[in-house]
Amino acid sequence: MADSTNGSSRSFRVIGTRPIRHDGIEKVTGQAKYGADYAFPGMLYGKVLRSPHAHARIKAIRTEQAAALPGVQAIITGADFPDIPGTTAMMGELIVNTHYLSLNVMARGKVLYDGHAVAAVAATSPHIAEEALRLIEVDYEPLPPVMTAAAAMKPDAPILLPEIRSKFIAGRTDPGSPEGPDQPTNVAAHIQFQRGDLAAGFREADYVVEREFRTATVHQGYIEPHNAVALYNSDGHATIYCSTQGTFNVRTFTATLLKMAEGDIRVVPAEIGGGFGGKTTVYLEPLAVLLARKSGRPVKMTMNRAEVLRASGPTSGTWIKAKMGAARDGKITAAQFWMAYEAGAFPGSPFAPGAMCCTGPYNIPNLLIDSYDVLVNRPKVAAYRAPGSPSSAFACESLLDELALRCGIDPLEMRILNGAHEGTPQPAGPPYKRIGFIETCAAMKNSAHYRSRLEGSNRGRGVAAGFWFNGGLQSSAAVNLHPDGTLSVVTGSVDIGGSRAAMAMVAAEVLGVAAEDVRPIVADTDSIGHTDVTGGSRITLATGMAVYEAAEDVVRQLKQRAAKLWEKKPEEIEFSNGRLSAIDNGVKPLTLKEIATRLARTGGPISGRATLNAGAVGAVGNAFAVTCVDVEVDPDTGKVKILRCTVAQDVGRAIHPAYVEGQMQGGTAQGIGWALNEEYVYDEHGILRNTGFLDYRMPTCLDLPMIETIVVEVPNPGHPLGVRGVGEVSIVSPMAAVANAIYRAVGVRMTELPMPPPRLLKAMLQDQPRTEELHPVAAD
Amino acid sequence: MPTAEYFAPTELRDALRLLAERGNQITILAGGTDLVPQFNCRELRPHALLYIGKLGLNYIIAKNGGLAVGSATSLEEIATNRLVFERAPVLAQAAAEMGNPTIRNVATIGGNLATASRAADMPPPLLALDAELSLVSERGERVIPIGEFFKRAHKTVRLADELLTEIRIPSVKGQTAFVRHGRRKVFSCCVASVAVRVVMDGGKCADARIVAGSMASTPVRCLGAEGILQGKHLTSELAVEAAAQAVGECKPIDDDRATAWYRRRVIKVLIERAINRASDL
Ligand SMILES: Cc1cc2nc3c(=O)[nH]c(=O)nc-3n(C[C@H](O)[C@H](O)[C@H](O)COP(=O)(O)OP(=O)(O)OC[C@H]3O[C@@H](n4cnc5c(N)ncnc54)[C@H](O)[C@@H]3O)c2cc1C
Repeated sequence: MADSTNGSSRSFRVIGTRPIRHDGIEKVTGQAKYGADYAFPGMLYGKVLRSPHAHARIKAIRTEQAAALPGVQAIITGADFPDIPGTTAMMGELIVNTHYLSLNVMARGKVLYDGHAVAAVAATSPHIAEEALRLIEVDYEPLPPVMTAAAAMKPDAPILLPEIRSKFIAGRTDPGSPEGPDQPTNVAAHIQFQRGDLAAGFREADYVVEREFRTATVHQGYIEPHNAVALYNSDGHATIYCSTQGTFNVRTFTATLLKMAEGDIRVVPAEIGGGFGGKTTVYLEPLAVLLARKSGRPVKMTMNRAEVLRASGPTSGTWIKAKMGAARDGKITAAQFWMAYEAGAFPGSPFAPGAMCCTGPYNIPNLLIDSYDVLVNRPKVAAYRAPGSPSSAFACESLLDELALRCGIDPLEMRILNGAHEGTPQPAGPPYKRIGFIETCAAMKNSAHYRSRLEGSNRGRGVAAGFWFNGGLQSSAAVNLHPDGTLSVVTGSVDIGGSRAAMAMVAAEVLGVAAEDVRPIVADTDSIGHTDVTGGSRITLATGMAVYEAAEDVVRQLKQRAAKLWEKKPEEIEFSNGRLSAIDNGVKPLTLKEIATRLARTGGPISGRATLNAGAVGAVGNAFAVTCVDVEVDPDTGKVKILRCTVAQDVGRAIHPAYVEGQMQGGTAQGIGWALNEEYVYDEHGILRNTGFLDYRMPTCLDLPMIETIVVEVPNPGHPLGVRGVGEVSIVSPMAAVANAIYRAVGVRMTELPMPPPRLLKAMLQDQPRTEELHPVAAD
Repeated sequence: MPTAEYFAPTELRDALRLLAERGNQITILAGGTDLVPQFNCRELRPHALLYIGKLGLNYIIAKNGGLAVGSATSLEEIATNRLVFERAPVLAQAAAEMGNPTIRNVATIGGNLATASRAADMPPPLLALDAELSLVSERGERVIPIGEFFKRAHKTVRLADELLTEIRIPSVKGQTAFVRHGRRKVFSCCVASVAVRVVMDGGKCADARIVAGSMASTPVRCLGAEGILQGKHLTSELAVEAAAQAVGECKPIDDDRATAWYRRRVIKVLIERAINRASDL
């Protein structure tokens, strides 16, 4: 099923094999502890009262009646939170403003979306807590909601946050942009990338296509809802057990929001049932700590699915106007993108990464990209797999498909012709290091899928490409040698995609042991050095690099011990395949197991360590993917069936190929859901209508074929093992690939996501005339 | 803290007694797949629950050439039972396509009817099969055609002291088909559904049932469309004509799952396809 294009001949013993994951048995037998599984004596249950309005002023909150309910132990509202000045911090891939983070976890003054927290209760049972919520009285003065970027950018739009003034972003923008003079605005930020001479570029073009695109708010849809269990000791120390992608983020955010010292908080990672970026911030954790502090008892909080959908962070809906020109030979001459990303109620959409990735796969000489961060009365967005990139890629890859048709060029050929390679400037300016985009396109072009013929009416094949820059950031690791010669690898990286296995394999490779001889441990925030989020596809890359260096540190120490035993210099000792030997021979080599028993006599235990910063986001491990999808459209109902789907991706080096393929398939599946059915449906008052998985429709396994994978390995020169991140880029291209396939099936160009049956049927009935001859996508 | 009383009688007469005494305050609980989510989000706050799973109402038996199905029979049972397969295959198919395996294991046919949801999957095939419902109370039994059961969305003619005990499917002739359109293959509520039964006699259609579900507040029998088929050779052109007539009879609604515009388009296609499938065209 998986083709592999191996870009290097380096040979490995452990890397590239498929051992059983270390945490597998615990998980399939139900022994693994997720956040909601923790319980402590005397524990209370916390519940959150949420706004029934999309936009309203809070005039009064009365909690006396609720407090009088037997079993209620503590109640908190916005008044219990300290004022946090606005400071921005880079947290993984996204920028976080702690002032707004505080307002998001508990409203003050105004509620800004349906589901916004206004109070929380801790009681002796969850039912009592829920009853107590009903007894809290809140007087609201409803305000008109602003639900879309288009509405929010109108000059007379109701304003969400009056302190956001256009002057903050003026000067960074071109004249004529919507900021204008200093006045309140819903546009929180703007970014622009520019190169070449746009007008000249479009003049050179033989074909120019221009369209407007829209994409809906979508949710990551992780299975496990948010949770937190907090303990607050009388000495002022707090411990939080929760499912998060970033324990250190939770510590920093909770400390900041509650004005506590970071050192007074310990965060213990529970197992995590999915996150996809959505668990990189805090919602319940500060509330649970505050309730625990107020009540003096442990407090557990869990969200239900409706709360997750209403009040955690989905990703932005977008509105994009795009224009692209190409010469007859297929060379792109110019492109322009104007993009508005809905941030939700507070600033911080992925408008910048969206712009940085937009035309990322291509070398476009004349380019102008404007991207805006726009406030709307929806939940504040959080990261979602390659945040920002899927929406801009939907626009870019749709236009590219049209141009390929106009030029009469095979769509993959078109992408190769314009493809970025080492030295090509990224949309943001800096040139790429060694990347594998061309190799990925070529692998798809040579695939069994792409070479097959697709026959039958109402069927079509579409391709699209995607770019995600990936993250480096900070990681720490320790490798401990046990007396029996086995090892443990300790990191601070929550395992969300099989990274325990990858960490063990990296250490096993360096130390010449089997992956099974290494036990990977994910430690709490007091037990390992600082480690940034599990996000940005950075764990196998950056934490893997720390593990690699920590294992090398073990090797260095082993050599010292052997030197001591053999009365030689460390430089005279060799280590390979798990055996120590002396260069000039004369001594009997020692295996790791043998020396492990003699540590006490040679200086004590061996523990290797490493900490590092693997580089800024985007500086290392850039990744590309190409999706090819065959669809069949039911011409009477508009329903799209996915017949076949293949994803090719440059992964640098596949440490554990099964988990690499799993990431590629998972991103593709989510992308197809985003393409066809997923969307937040709000009524005219801004109330979310589809608050469960029955009507927030992610695809089930029956809706998708087995997704085929092509693992391309163009090693990352900045990594000792050649690793690039693999977790995100596969979600970038499916939306455009499906849209392009639909076009080739029924001649309708869909510019709005999702593309559910009613919308597609309507478009088909509008009978758009085809502007060009369709050229079969199957190469023989 | 309000709590609910809970009764789980093992004798029908005890259940009927409770309903007679406190019918208005009692919520009948079968599989709970409709009720429990409403309890959880406090949409419904029952005073007392009457669980009917221990009353022996879980059965499928052959009766008068047709079937008698106990109201507490699970949809999984209906989807996999041999008798249903032989005598009412359209019902088995509709049950098999409903919800997902975990839901089907506990959801009951009685609950599916008594909920009277627009999107319910059991009513259209049961209407096409001329099923009858038995409503029992201390006052006795009344048997009504299923077509008279639904008043509007979430409202039936069942009185507070009555329990729906049995669904009776007579021995009916003809070939049947059920077609549903949801937004996913599984685990999705219907946007539109159609059950069709055609009785062929000497190459002509002697009798027909065309029932549209998820359209209006109750399932709709399309009598005009049935009339178009009556006495004719069934062709795909005739199916188109009948479908066009049926659209006019359906009066579809707008809701979060689809607009009336889309329902009209889709129901037409589904009816055509169902007629064609039932008559092997
Ligand atoms: C995830 C999910 C997916 C679903 N998918 C579908 C689907 O695809 N198609 C579909 O049709 N439905 C679907 N449903 C709805 C539900 O499962 C069905 O309506 C089911 O058949 C209800 O049966 P129950 O036994 O669970 O009813 P309950 O929840 O126990 O009861 C439902 C109602 O009927 C009343 N009642 C039950 N039995 C009797 C009786 N014998 N006499 C009088 N009143 C009675 C109850 O008082 C209550 O008002 C779905 C539900 C969920 C949660």
